[in-house]
Amino acid sequence: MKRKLLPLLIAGVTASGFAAADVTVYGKANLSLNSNDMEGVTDTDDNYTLNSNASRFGIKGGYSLGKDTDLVAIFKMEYEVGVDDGDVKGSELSQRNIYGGIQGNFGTLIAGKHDTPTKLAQGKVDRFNDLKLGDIKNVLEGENRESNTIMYTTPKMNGFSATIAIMPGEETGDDSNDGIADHRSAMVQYKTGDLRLALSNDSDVDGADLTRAVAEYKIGDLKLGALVQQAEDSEDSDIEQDGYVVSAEYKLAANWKLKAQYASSEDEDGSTTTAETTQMAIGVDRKLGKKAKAYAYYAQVEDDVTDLEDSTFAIGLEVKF
Amino acid sequence: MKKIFLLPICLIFSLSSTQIVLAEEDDFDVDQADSLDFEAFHKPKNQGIKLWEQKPSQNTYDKATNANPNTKSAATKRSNNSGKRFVARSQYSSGQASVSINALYQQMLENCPNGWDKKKEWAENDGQQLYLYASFDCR
Repeated sequence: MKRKLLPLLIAGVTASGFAAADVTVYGKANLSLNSNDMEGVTDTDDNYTLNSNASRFGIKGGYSLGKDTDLVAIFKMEYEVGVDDGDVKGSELSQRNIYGGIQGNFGTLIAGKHDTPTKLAQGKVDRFNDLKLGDIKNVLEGENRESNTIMYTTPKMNGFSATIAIMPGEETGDDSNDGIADHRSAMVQYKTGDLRLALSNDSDVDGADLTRAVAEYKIGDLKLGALVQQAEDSEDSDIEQDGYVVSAEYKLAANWKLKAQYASSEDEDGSTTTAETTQMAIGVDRKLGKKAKAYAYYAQVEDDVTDLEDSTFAIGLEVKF
Repeated sequence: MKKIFLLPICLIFSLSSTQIVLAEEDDFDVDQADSLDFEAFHKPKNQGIKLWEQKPSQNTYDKATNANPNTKSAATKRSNNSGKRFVARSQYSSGQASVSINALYQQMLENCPNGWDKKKEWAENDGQQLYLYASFDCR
């Protein structure tokens, strides 16, 4: 963090005239050494790669809006960093979730660039999230981070909470997306004890209408997850994708976790199957203290239509701060 | 599995044979960042790197009585104030800046006999009178 940032932040705080909360930097470095054997489903490389798996840093904070109100102005600015080669999609940094908003007893209202409620509905079902070939985005639609998002989340009420996000199309001209809510994503969630259920729906988000249902359950040291979804092209309902994910995680000992995941999707155009993709991943995590872990995993993605298969084996390290 | 992986795997997974007491993954900001539980995410935690943290402050003056800060400054609890934040106030009159500043420093000294870190200085007019303020943390 550059030294100049601190006085700037302090100046920003003191200028507000209200009591400040705090400004926190957080993040993680996640690196893996992958042995890749790619036949063309996602790539064609057959090599070793050092990968930065969505390594990131973020700054978050909040400021009380006065002594007589529970309202707090909040913000978060999170960026991905290419820890392997300094490059993230052609840039040194890539924006992740970024917003400003207001929080209070009424819930949370934010505006910015953010993962859709549908993407976040999956919770921890994706046990290989952000990992090469392990992330469910290799198989399923609906893993979207959208710009120009206005999002409201209710407080928790008897285990229930809901989130709705709208995104103006920001287009002009006839027959264009120029409304305030051309794209919408919403989720309802119920959480009690070791059970979490979620149902979400996207309308014209990244060109798709999508419904996703999620369940997570914990039995002792075993965590189970399942996700099913149906998606179709927003403009052509003949183009569809159905898919599901099942996953499990088992705590072997205080520091060890075994993980496994299976996902499948089928793409259709009318009555023609255009893609049939399956993903399988297994892995083990070894905690190295409170903020670090080492891991190893194997993942493969197979297209049953073309009979091509990509696979990778990796060892990695994650350090949080 | 290619042989080159065997050595680092053995090294990493045998780093420590001791059992480590671990925090739940969800306790970390970086994990909660990818969720819709904004309430939990924005709740202050004892991890992450704090760039700025507001400490509760205590006035060294009595605003209600508007008493002279030179004599009203906190006369009690002057010990064990290490780490506490105070706000001092003194009346400001034209041409009397040094008197006002001395009054502020007198309050700092009385409350923080071991020294202090001055955080902010400002002036405010209550409609009748201009006051100088200083917030400071006792060492």
